[in-house]
Amino acid sequence: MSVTDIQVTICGSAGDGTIAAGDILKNTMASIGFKAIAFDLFPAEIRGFGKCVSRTRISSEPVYTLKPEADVLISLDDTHALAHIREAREFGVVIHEECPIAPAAEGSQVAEYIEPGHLPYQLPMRNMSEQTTNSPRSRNMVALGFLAGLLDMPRDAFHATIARKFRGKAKEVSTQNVAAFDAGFDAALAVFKLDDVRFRAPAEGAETGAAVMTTGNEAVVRGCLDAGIDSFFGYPITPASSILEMLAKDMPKRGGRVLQTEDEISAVGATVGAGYTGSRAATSTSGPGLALMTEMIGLGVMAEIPCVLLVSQRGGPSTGMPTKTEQSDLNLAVYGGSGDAQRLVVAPTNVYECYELAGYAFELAETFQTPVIVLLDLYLSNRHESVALPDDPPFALTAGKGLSEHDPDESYQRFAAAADSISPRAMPGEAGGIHTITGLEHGAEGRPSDSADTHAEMNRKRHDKLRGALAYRDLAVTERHGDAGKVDVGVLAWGSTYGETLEAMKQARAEGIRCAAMKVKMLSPLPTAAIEAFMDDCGAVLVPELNHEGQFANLVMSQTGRPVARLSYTTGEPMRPGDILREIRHLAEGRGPRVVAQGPNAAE
Amino acid sequence: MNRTRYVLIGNGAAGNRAAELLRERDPDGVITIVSRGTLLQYRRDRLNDLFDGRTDWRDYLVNAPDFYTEKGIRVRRQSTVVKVDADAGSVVFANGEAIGFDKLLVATGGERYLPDDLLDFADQCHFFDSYEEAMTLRRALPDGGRVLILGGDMAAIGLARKLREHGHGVALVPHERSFRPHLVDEAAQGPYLAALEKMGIEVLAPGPIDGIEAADSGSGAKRVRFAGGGEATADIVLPAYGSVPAVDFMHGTGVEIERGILVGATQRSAKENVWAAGNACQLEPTEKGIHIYNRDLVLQMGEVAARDMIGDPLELFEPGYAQELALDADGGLQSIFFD
Amino acid sequence: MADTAAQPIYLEDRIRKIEESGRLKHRSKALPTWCPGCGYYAMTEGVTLAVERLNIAPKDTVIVSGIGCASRFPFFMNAYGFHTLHGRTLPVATGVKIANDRLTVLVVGGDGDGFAIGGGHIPHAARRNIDITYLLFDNGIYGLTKGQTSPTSVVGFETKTTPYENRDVPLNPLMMLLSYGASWVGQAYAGHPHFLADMITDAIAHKGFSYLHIMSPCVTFDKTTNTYQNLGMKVRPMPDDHDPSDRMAAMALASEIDRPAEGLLYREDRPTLSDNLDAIIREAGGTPPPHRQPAAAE
Repeated sequence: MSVTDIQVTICGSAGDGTIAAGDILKNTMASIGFKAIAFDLFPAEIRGFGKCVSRTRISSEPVYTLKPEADVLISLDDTHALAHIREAREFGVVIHEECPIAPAAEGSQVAEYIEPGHLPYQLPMRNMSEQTTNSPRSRNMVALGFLAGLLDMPRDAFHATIARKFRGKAKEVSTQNVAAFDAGFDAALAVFKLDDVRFRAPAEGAETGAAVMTTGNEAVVRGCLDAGIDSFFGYPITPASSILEMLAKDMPKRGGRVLQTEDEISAVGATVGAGYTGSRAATSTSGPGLALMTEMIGLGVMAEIPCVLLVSQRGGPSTGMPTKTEQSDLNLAVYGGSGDAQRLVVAPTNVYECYELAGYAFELAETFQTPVIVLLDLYLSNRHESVALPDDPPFALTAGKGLSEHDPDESYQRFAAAADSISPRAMPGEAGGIHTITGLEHGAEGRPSDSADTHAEMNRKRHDKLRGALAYRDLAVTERHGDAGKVDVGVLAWGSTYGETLEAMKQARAEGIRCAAMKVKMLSPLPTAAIEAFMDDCGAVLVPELNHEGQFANLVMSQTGRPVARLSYTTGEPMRPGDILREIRHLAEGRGPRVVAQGPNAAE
Repeated sequence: MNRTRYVLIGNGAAGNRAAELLRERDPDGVITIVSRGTLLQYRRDRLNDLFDGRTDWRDYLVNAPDFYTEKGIRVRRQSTVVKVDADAGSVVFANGEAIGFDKLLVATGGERYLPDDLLDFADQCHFFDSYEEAMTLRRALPDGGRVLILGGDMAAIGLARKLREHGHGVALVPHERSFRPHLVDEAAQGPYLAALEKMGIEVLAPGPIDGIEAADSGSGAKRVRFAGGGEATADIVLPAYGSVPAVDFMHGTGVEIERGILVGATQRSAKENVWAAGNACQLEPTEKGIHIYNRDLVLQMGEVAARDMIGDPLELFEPGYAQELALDADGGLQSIFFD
Repeated sequence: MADTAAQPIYLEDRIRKIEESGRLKHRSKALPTWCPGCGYYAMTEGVTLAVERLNIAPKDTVIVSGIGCASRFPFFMNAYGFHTLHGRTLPVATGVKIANDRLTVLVVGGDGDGFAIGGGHIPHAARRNIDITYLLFDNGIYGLTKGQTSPTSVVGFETKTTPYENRDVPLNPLMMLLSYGASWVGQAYAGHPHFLADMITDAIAHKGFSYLHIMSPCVTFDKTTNTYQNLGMKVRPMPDDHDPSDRMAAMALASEIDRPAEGLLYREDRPTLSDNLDAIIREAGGTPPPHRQPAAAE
C-alpha cells in the first residue's frame, strides 16, 4: 500500500503542550507535501487543568474529514486520555508514560485501559524530558519525537518546523525542544516497529512547501486582505475573535483601519457607514452578535449598501455553547431582520472556500449593493487544512456600478430603475451624485415614500437584483461529486458538514450504492435550478446538518416544493460520516425518507 | 459485591488458557493477563514460518483482539513484574505501579540461558525468542547467508532445518546444553551431532568463546573467536542454550522454587493463593520424570490451575509423549519437538 | 417724537439677499416639514450658515440623522445624507469618517435618539475623539411619536407614557459628555438663532469630537415646560471668567441646570481617531492609502 492515511490524536492537560505538539506535527507534514486536516479541542475554562485534544489526519490523498478512529493515540496526561482510549483503532498505537510520578492509584493509568487490540508503547517521557531539558515540560516533544521515529518520518523536517515555530523566542527554546524531540526519536529507533501504522513519504513531484496548514479563520483573514479590505469593525466573540485580532495586526501594515467597537450594533453600524462611503468594510461575529446586527442588516438591504459580515456559528440558541460547533444560524442569516429583507448569504464548506468566499464577498457586496454574510462555523474556523492559497488572488479589487455609469445630463437618482435592478451608486465626496439614503421606503431619487406602487416596485428591485449572484463571474455556487447521472441516493449538504458527507458518499459507493453529493455554497438566493436538477437525478435526497430543526432542509423544501429526508442533530461536535452513511443505506434500501432529529446512533 | 481478582503473569499458552476458563466459570471476576511483551498471545513455536514469507505478526495471533474484549479479559502489556507480595496480594511492576490480586497464576515460561562467557558479547548476537527478535534476525540475514548456532537447543535445531530449506549455511558449536530441553550428556552427543551433519549443519568443535565482534568486511558479518584457538565467521550468531524458568521475581514470596516453582497436582504452589503453570513451574514429584512440558501439557496445566482457582479442582493427566531425544531408522533426529 | 417706526421688510429684498449670499446651495429643494416654530428651523439655518462660512462643499458633507424629528434633516440639505436607525447615528458616522476623513460629518439627533437607545455609543465616540460634530437637539420629549417622556424630561412631566407624572430624574447630557472625554462641549438655544449659528460653526471647525447641546421647545407637544418663554428666561450668557480649558469648571457650569449657560463649556486639542489610526499604520510599517491622505489644497 503506498497511500498514507494516518490520524494522530494527542490528549493532554492544559499546559502539557498538547496543541503545540499537534501544531508541529501538522505543519511538518504539510511542509513535506502531505494533505492534512486537523481539529483541536480546547478546555472550556481559561484556567485550570482542563482537557486538550489535538487530532491530525495526514494523508497522501486529499481528505475532507477526520476519521472516527485514530491510528495513533498519544497520552500526555492519563487522566484525560482515559476517556479517549477507545478512539485508537484495532491494531492502532497507544503511546503513554511509562513511569507515573507517584504511586498511581489502580485504575488511573492508561496502561490498564489499553485495549487488547492496541499496540502499546510505554515511554519514560518525563524522565527523558528532565534529562534533556531539565524540566518535565517538554514531554510533548519527547512523545512527538518518538512518534516520528516510530513511523520513520523525516527528522529534519521536524527540526525545521520547530525552528520556525519558536523563531521569535530565545534560541534555547528552540534548541531545547529539538533536544527533547531527538531524545524521543532516538528512543524509537531502538524499538521494533510492528509496522501496522504505515507511513510512506509522499510521491515524487508532490508540491513541497506549497501547502500550509491554515484554519478557517486564518483563511477568511487572507481572503479579506487579498480582496483589499479597507476598514474593519469588530467585537470579541467566540469563535470569531481571532478574525478581529488577526486583522488588527495585519491591516495597518497595508494602510487599513481596524476598530474594536463597544458592541456588535456599533460594529455593523460602522461597517454600513463605511460601506456607504465607498470603503471595503467588514465585521465579524457569531450567532448572538448576528442577532443584534439584524436591524442594521435590514438598513443595508433597504438602502442598498455594500457591506460584509463574517459569521462563524456556534452552539445555540442564545449564549448556547460558545466552544462547540453547530449550523443553527442559517435562519438568522437568511431571514433575520424585519420585513422582506433578502440579502446575499454564502457558506464555505472547507478552509479553501473560507478564503475564496471571504474574498469574493466584497465584490459581491459592491456589485449587488447589499450586505453579504459569509456563514462559517466553529469547526471550520478552528480546523486546520493543508491549503495552497493562490499567489495571484482571483478577486476584483473594484466592482459595481459607480457614478460614472450615470448619464450626467440627467439628474442623479440613487435608486434609478435599471434592467438588472442595480442602480449606479454615488459615494460621498463625488460631485454630481449628492443624495440621501434612508431606512424608510423611498422612491428612485431616494426620498421617503410609502405609496403602494413605490413599495411594490422597490421590493421587486431589491429582490430581483440578487438573482445575478447565482451566476457571478467564475464563482461556482453548487458542486456535485460522486456518481454522475441517476443515483439511488443524493446527499445535499452545506457548510462544514460537506466534508463528512463526501466521506460517507465514498463509502456508500464502495458498498455498491449509486450515490452522489452536492454542496450548496450560496444560501441566499438559493440556487434552486441546480438543486432541482440534482434532485431529479436522485431516488431519494438526504439533507444532513448540525441543527435541530433542519433549517437547510426547510429552506430547500420551501423553495423547491420537494420532500427530503433529514438527518439533523446537535451534539456540539462535527457530524459523523457513519451516521450519514447509515441514512444513505436506509434510503437506498427503499425504506423511504425519515426525520432523524435525535442524537446520533439512533436505532435502525 | 466483591469480584475476585485474578492476575495471570505470562502471556503464553498456560496463562491464556487459564484466563479463558476462568471467564467461563466466573463471569464477574476481574481477569488480568500481565505480559512483558507488546503483542497479544501468538504462536512462538511457529516463528520459523517467517522464512516462508509469513511475516505479518497478526498471522501468529492465537486469538483476535475481540476474544479478549468480549470476554472482558484485560491484557496488560509492556509490564514487567519485579516483585510479588503474596500475603498482601499485590504485584509490582518495574515502573512502580502495583495491582492487587486475590489469586495469582505465574505462567511466565522460560527465559533464555546464556553462559557466563557470552554475557559480554550478547549485543553482537541475534536471538529468536520473540517475534521481534525473530524478524530482526530474518532481516539481518542476507540471501544465502550463514548462521552460527552456539549450543543448539531443539528450537534452534528446528530453525536450522528451516534455514537449510531456504539455502542458508548453518554451523553449530556443541555445548553441554545442546539439544535442550532433552537432557543429553556431552559424552552421548555424538550420534545426535552426526544426525545434525546429515541435515547439512556444519558441526564445529565445542569450547568456550573468547569473543564475538564485527568481522572486518564491514558487511555486518560477525567473527567468533574460540578460547581454544581458531575462529569462525557468520552473518548471524545465534546463542541457543535452552531456557530456565523465568521466576526470579518470585523469590521471597513464600513459594518453593527448585528450578521452577514447585507445584502439586492441581498446579498450586506452597502459597495458597499462588499457582504456577507451564515452564515456570516444576511438577512434583519429579521422579515421574516429566521435565519436558510440550504445548498440550502446558495448556492442560493452565486449565488445571484455573479449575483449582475457582474451586473445582481437576488433576493433571500424565502426558504420553517421549521425554528423550532419539534417532530414527535413518539416523535422523526423533523428538517431541519435531512433529 | 423720535422716528421709531419699524422699517418695512420687503420679502423680495430678503429673498434676493439670501440668494446672493450663496448659501442656498447647501439646501435641497424639499421644504422642511417641521411644525411651525420648531427649533429645527434655526438649526437648519445655523448649519447652512456654518458650512457656507467654512467653505465646505456640499459633496464633501455627510449628514447622518437618527430617528425622530431629526430624521428628515438630511433631506432638507443639499449634501450626502444618511438617515439611519434609532440610536445608531454615532456608529454609522464613525464608519463614514473612518472610510474617508476628508469628509465633514455632521450628526443630528434628539434627546431620545441620543440618550435613551443611543446612550451606549456616545461615550466611545467622545473618548475616541472622532472628528465629527454631534448636534443634539434637546426638547425633553419624543416629538415624532407624538409626545412621550424622554431621558431629559423633568420630574413631574406628564405625557401619555407618564400619565401620573414622570418620577425619573433626568440625565445631565453636558455632565456626561464632559466626563466621557469629549474634546469640545458647547451649549446653545434655538431661540437665539444667530448665536446658535456661531456655535455650530465653531463646533464644525473644531478638529475632534464636538458636542453641541441645543435647547429647544417642542411647540406641539410640550406647552408647559420647555416653552420659548421658559427657556428664554432660564438661558443666560456664558460667564466671562469661564476658562474653557478647565474641565471641572465646565462641569460646575453643567450642573447648574436651572441656569443653563450658552456658549463654549470646554475645549481641548488632542489627536483624533483618524490621527491615531494613521499613526498605527505608520508604526506597523504601512502607508495610509491615497484616498485618505490629505487632499491637495482645494
